[in-house]
Parts: sequence; structure tokens; C-alpha cells
Amino acid sequence: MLRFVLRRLGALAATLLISSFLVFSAMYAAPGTPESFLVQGRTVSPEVLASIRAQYGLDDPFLIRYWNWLGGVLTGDLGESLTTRQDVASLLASRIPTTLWLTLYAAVLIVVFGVLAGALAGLRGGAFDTGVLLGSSVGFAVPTFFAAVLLMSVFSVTLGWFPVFGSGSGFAGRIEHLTLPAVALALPAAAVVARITRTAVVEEREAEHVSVALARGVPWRVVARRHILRNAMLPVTTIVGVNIAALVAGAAVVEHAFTLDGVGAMLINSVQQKDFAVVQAVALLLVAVFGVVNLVIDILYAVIDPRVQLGGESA
Amino acid sequence: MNVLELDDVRLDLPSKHGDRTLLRGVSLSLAPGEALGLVGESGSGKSMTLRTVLRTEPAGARVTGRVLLDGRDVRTLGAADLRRVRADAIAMISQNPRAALNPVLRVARFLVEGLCDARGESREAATRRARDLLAQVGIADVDRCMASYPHQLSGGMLQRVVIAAAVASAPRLLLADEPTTALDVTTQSEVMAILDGQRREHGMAMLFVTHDLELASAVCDRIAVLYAGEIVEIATPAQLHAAPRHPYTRLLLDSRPNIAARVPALPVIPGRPIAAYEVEGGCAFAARCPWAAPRCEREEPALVHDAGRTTRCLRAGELADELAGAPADDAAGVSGAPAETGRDGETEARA
Ligand SMILES: Nc1ncnc2c1ncn2[C@@H]1O[C@H](COP(=O)(O)OP(=O)(O)OP(=O)(O)O)[C@@H](O)[C@H]1O
Ligand code: SF4
Ligand SMILES: [Mg+2]
Repeated sequence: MLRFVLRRLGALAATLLISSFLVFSAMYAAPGTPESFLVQGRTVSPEVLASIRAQYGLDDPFLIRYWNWLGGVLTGDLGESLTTRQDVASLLASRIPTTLWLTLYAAVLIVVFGVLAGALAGLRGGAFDTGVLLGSSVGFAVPTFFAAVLLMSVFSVTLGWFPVFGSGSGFAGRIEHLTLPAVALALPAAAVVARITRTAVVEEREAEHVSVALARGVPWRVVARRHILRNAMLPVTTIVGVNIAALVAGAAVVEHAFTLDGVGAMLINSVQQKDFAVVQAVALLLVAVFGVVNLVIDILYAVIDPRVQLGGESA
Repeated sequence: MNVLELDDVRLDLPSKHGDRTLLRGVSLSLAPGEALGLVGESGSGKSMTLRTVLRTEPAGARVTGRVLLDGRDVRTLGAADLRRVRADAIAMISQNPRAALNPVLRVARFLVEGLCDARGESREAATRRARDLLAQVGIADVDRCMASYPHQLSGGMLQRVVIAAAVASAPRLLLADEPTTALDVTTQSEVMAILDGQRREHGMAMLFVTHDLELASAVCDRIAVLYAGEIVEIATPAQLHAAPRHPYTRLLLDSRPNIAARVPALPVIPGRPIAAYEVEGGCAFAARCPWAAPRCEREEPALVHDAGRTTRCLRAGELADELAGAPADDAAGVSGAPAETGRDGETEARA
């Protein structure tokens, strides 16, 4: 188990290294120069431009620049933002809470509504099942950005139930401000999760061991919980995990639409401004979160399914 | 009073092509402690008969007739009573033990839940009895078996676990659906011996489904022969072997490989086994019966109880001597026997 985790963390580190290099190259190759954002359209003499370039090391060869950046990261220095001249680490730290709350909120919505609706639909059948199937088709088809605008115009502008923008402070404030964004973010994933949960539950219901348990006189409540739902959670765990990991990326769209000051919105801005250090830091963060969430899923999977053995060791 | 009595049980299942009749009148009875074999070709409705007793038939199936367990009709029980009957009075052993256990739960959980969750016994008492029974069915390392997941045990071990679970609640009636078919040959006889021993020790009646007429003869007090969803003959193994009363039984006996007679090839029953819903008037076996007479196509034979024998054949009386004779080598030559004998026509009865 420990060996498995260590090996996976090692693989994650390698992934981080490779992806940081790829992101760095992409930024380098993309059109536009950072200093044009720094001078913001003012006419500046070539001498001043040259001094800015020298100050930020923009004229160094590509590999040297990457090497300098990597050296900084390994010693805990994420560099500083080209545009705001702030320390990237503190910039990130100020943005992380909003994104964290947003994705956690959306994750809870996915688990509660996606898994619950799918499980009930699979167990009950009938009209509720049809409703869930229909709802999940709609939820899956609506693009996140469109859902965001729609929710905003109905619940914030027309009904005035929720604030239009900002991320709020304190627990209640955050819930109030983040409800619509979290719903918009969770909608497609919750739809997929509901659909897959339903299918998994229906499939498990048909399993022979389920009818055997019922034929032995085990009460339906116990059979539903212990044999149907528990077994159906195996595929559902994976799907929920993958969807939650993907939220981190989807958050950028929602933060942008609702003008939230999260990491995703920062990523979009800094890409536009070719703010190397910030883009790199955010990209690394996203990859790391994705990797860690997936690792947690795999461990969880091995815990709930005794047939799965982590890395060939006995479970 | 009989432990189990099936009285003209019919089962129709609605399907895309209209209703399908799967059982056309199954009548049989089991005395306390008795073992009754239920034999017949694949698709004749053996498993379906067992399912009507536990009421686990496919959703939408319409069942008529009575299924009396200790005189009480299980077909009319409410949900709570049905659950209690399943928990207390009947136990089922199915063909594939690997499918019967939840693959992600330990064996101990399977054994204990039939006593705790189904019958409300205490966990300690249930665990103690489960351990005792595992030892009785010949599991050497009880601790290890209890802590194992199904995929860690062999099929033979798992079927022992299922047998232990079945006898744990001391049911009146054991339903066994080809309990050894999925096992390899060496374990088959072991598991069969354990099942038989446990049944006798706990005094349970058993309805034993098998393809294997020889096995049924060895294990059972009486044998019921099923064809196309109806009982065609019920008799003791001795009666059946010495003097079968139904032509189908005669052909089943003839189709066993017989080492002593050194038959070059397994004689097969001519024609294809038909499903219950394909029967249209007359005797269900008429198309394959070498002794069929014209009236067999028109008249539907009833199950007749006569002088300790139970048979469903219009000509049972006239044919009694002929059927009791040596293997009917010339059976295929008798008028009315279909000529073609394909793969489909092979009966699955075997020694
Ligand atoms: N769930 C179902 N839906 C529709 N038809 C079914 C279903 N289960 C069984 N049947 C049909 O019912 C008939 C009897 O099936 P049953 O399983 O009782 O046969 P069997 O005698 O047990 O055969 P086998 O020896 O192959 O187990 C068969 O024709 C089969 O095709
Ligand atoms: S009734 Fe006629 S066809 Fe049917 S088994 Fe008897 S002799 Fe054969
Ligand atoms: Mg069967």
C-alpha cells in the first residue's frame, strides 16, 4: 500500500515536470510579448524596453529561462508576477480559497444530487426514474457557460435571490455567493454521475447474488444497501472522482462568468498577459490536484473492492 | 402432512411474441424428510418449478395452481409472511455458487446474514453456528474460510459454504438446482455426499433438480420426470429402472451410456425437445414418441395415479409390458418416429 502510494507520487512528480516544460514551451511559442502588457500601450523608448527585458530575463535563451524558473520552484520560490510584481505564492494563496470553496461545493452537489438521484432512480424505477433520465439528458446537454448566464439572469437578476457577482465572506456569505456558480459548475457532472449511478444500480439489481439474498429472506432494505448500492458504488466512485478532478478545470469558465476572484479566472488573465510565472504555478497546481484526486480514488477503490490489489500487493 | 405439494402449477410469461407457457401443470408432493428428484431435458422447466416455490419467478409471470408448504399456499402469502417463509422454512442451493455470493463481501457475512438479518438471531449465536456448520461440511480451516472473499475460494469450497448456509436455518425444505454441475468431476461426488449427509442429518425434505438420472436414482427416494413443462411420470428409482411407464422415461433410460452393453454410440431420443409453449393439443411428447397412436395427437393425457404409479400417457396400460422390457433397440423403427436426429435431439441425461 505504502509502496503503491510512493510510486504513484513519484509518477505524479514526473508528470508535473513534463507538463511544466510543455506549458512553458507553449507560452514561449505563443504570439505576443509580456512587455507589451507591462507598458500597456504607452510609447516607450527602446532603451526602457530593453531594460525591462533584461530585468525579467526575457532575452535569455529558452532553456536557461526554464532552468531558472525550475530552480526557483524547487527551492520554494514560485517567482513573481510580471504584471503586478507580486509574489506568485501569495497571489495564489489569496485566490485559492474561492476556487476551493467553489469546487468543494460543486463536488458536494455532484455527490448528493448525482449519486442520490441515480441511486433512487435505479432502485425505485417508475416516474422518478423517467424524471432523472430526462433531467440528466438536459443537464448534460447545457454548456456550463450558458447555464451560468441562465442561472444568473433568472435567480439573481429577475428573482434577486442570489448576488450577481463576488465570492462573499464568512460561511453563510460564501454559500450565498457561490450557490449559483457551484450549480452551474456541477450540473453536467451531476448529470453524468446520476446516469451512471442509475445504470450501475439497475445492473446490480439483476445480479444473481441479489435474488439469492432476497430468496434467503434477507429484508429488502438490507439487500438494497448491502448488496445493490454497495456494489454499484464501485463504478460510481471512479466516475465521481474523475468528474470532481475535472471540476478544477471547469471552474475557470464559471469563475469568469460570475467574476469570481478564483484561481481559474487568474489563469485566464495571466495567459492573456503571458505572465509566465503565474501560468506555470496555476498549471502545476491543477495537474497536482488532478493527480492527487485520482490517487485518492484508486486507493478508495481498493478499499471498497477486495478483488482489487494495489500494485500487485495483497490487499 | 406433506412438506410440499404442487397442485397443477402453470406458469405463463408475457413476451414480445405473446404469452409463453413455461409450465403446463406440475403436480408433485414431498413427504417430510423425503428426497424427490426432478429430471428432464434442458428447458423443460425444472428451475422454473423451483422458482414458483420460492416465488422468484421472472417479473410479470402469471402462476396458477397451488404451492402448499406444510399446507399453506405460498403463492398467496403477503410480503412479510413470504419473507419469513424464505428465511425459516425453505433454503435454495443453486448451480453456480460463485454467482450466489456477493463478490465484495466476506464469506462470514454471507453465512451470518441469513441468520441475523433474515431471522433476527444474535450475531454471536449466528457466527458460532456458521463456524460449526463449516466444520461439518468439511472445511478444514474455518477461520480462514470465514475471512475469505469468494474469489479466494474454489468452486467446491464455495458450494460447501452455500450448503452450510442452507442447512444453518434448519429449513423444512431444501431446493437444490443442479448443485454439482458447475464443479469439477472430482469435487462433484464429495459435495453431493456432503449435501446428502447434511440433509439426512437435519431431516430435511429435498427437491433435487438434475439432468442426471443416475445421480437422481442414487440420491432420491422418488423421481419425477418433467417434459415440456409437465410431469410425465413419478416413481421410485427401482420402479423407474425396472418398469418405466412413460415412453419418454424409457427413452431417457436407454439414452444413458451403457458400458456393459458396449453400445458404440449414445442412443439419442429422436427429435428435438420442445418447449412448453410449443405444445398444441394432444400429448406433448407425441412428435417424438415411437409408440404414438393417432389419438395421441388429439387427446391430452392426464396425470393418472394408479396402483402406486403416476403416469401421463394415454397408452400407459397397453404399453406397460413393452416399456418394461430390455432397451428398445427397435424403437426408432416403430411407426411414427421422426427420422432426423440432430445435435438438438440429444438428450442431456447422462450417467
Ligand atoms: N427469465 C426468463 N424469461 C423468459 N423465459 C425464460 C426465463 N427463464 C427461463 N425461461 C424459459 O423457460 C423454460 C424453462 O426454463 P428452466 O430454466 O426452468 O429450464 P430447466 O429445465 O431448468 O433447464 P436447464 O436444465 O437448462 O437448467 C425454457 O424454455 C427457458 O427458455
Ligand atoms: S400419450 Fe401417446 S404420444 Fe404421448 S407418450 Fe403416450 S403413447 Fe406416446
Ligand atoms: Mg435449470
